[in-house]
Amino acid sequence: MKKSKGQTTVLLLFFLPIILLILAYTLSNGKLIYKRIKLQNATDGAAYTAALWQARGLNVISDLNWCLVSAYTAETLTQNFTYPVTKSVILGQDMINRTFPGTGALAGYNNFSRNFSNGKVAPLSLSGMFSLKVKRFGKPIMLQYMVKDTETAWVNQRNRGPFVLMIGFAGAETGFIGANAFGFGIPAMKAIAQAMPDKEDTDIRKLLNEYDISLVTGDLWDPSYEPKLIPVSLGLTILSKGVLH
Amino acid sequence: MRGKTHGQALVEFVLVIPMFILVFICIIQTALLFNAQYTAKYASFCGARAAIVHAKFPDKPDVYAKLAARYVLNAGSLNPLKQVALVKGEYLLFEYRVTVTIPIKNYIPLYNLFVPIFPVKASTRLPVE
Repeated sequence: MKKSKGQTTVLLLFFLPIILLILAYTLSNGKLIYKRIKLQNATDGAAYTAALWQARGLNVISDLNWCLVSAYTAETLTQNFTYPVTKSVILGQDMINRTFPGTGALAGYNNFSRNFSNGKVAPLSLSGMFSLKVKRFGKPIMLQYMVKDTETAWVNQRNRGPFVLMIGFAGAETGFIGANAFGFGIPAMKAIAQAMPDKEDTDIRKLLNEYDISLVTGDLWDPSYEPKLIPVSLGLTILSKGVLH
Repeated sequence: MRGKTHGQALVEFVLVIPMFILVFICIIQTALLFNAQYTAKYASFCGARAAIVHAKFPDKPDVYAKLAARYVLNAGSLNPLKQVALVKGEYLLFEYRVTVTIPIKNYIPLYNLFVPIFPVKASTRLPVE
């Protein structure tokens, strides 16, 4: 009598490689994505932290400028920074304000171009301001933010401030048989993030407090720099191509 | 008993094969569900990250979130249901959450009738300032 035991084993032998392949594909994909997410989070965190330290520096500079202006004027107690604040103080603060908006104590001096002959100067006009009409529980109010896009200025405000470009790299992992055994290894991958200390879009307090703030006379309301992740723009164009993989 | 046992192997085979196929289908289904799970996770992560990076204050970040999530879903596989996936973005106080739901068809024969579709959900929250 012929023994016919073990026929199911043969069937399993046929299916087993298929099942193992599916399993390997699934697990390697999962691990890859997990690693990618961790790498991207790490890169973002590093960029954010660097921009945070830059923002703290700029805030310190801002406070020091206020102290300087106070030291140079007689109106230390009343904080009334109109005439007779010296012209040089105003011009210096205006220049600082154009370079790093909001760090200077004063801005908006009229004859800026005649006193600084190097480079071009953009007049701070209300028509160049980015204004936002907001309707809340009542009639709409007009919030005026700082100048967003000036074509020519003492320093191009589009690239104002320092920014941080962080590139993260994770090396390939050695697998069970090799890094790319049957195409299921975890290859090397990279991530990129950019952050900048910014002052404008982060202030929701203006909206909540119903202040109609005009910033021609300087940031007397004193919002400070905060770090912000921005789209990666290596100089000129924004890389908005989706996800780097 | 020494009767004729011709065709015994065939009968056993016929009885065993459905179980095998059922188990095989279950394995494939599980792999498909895992695939959907990490695809949804990655899509939601990309969407949330795109939203907080690209969005400015007056605009809503939903547009960027959906764009990035669709990019990932379309690149992920040939499954047409992945393109029917639902992408939802919601504001919490200082974070933004994106939820991606991918419907996966159930291929297991009798379970099919009770639960035709498995919805696979994943969401990420990222801080918004």
